[in-house]
Amino acid sequence: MNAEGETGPADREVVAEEAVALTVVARRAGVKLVHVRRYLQFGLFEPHAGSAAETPRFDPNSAMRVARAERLRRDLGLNYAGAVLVCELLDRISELEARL
Amino acid sequence: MPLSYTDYYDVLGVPRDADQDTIRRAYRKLARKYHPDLNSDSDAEERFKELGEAYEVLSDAEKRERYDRLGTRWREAEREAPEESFRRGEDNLDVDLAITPSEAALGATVSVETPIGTARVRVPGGSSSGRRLRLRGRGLPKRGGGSGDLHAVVKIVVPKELSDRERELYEQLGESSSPDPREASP
Repeated sequence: MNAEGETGPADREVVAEEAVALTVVARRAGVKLVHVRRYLQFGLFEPHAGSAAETPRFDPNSAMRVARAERLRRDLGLNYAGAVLVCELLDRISELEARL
Repeated sequence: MPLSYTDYYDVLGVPRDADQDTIRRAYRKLARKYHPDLNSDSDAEERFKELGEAYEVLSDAEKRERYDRLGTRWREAEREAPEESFRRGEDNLDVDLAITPSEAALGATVSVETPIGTARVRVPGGSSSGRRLRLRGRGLPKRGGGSGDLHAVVKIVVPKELSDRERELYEQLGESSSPDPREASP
């Protein structure tokens, strides 16, 4: 890990990764584009607000979400809707645990 | 590699005569319990890997039969099988030698399977697929004494998935001024 310096919000904006194309999400997740599109249809992740409808861009963290959903789908024999539901429930559990 | 004997039937908690449905149900149930995305216990990942290995074997009729017959030795038996990777000539043998694109371009010393064990062979830089590298006396025994040669036939294997860094490097390579192989060939 890099050493933390005095990093203000402005610096964070400089190092923050920009929104990426769907093909990049697929490549980083190691999941075929056709499957990534299915997760998108089921609302696992959404286009970045403000990105053009014809060239949607996505949060780079979408790749992690897709990779997790794909592992669950593959390993547990779930369908897309089931994998997305499990991911949402896991997120909900994390949120609740963080509040405790 | 685990030192202790792992009984795949115990791992899945099924009897030795369990049918495929029982095995699948047991796997799915335990997979939900130990999946690393669902279980944060420190040993969950290890348990899940073990489950996957047990299911891989017991859900495949051929592997299960070998496991039932050979126990822990089933995997070794599987490794002994690649005899078929050798192609036989009169006295000589051919074997494919899988190498990476960078090994092909830059050269490397790599391991190659021979009928009597592993040998090291020097792949010269600039080797294309199909190049034959001779390992003298590593082929089949000859009738009049001595042994034939083994030919390691270079086979460049390109990774199906590239990391971002690898893709970037390949793109840089593509932009460099190497001669077009389609023009260079006669």
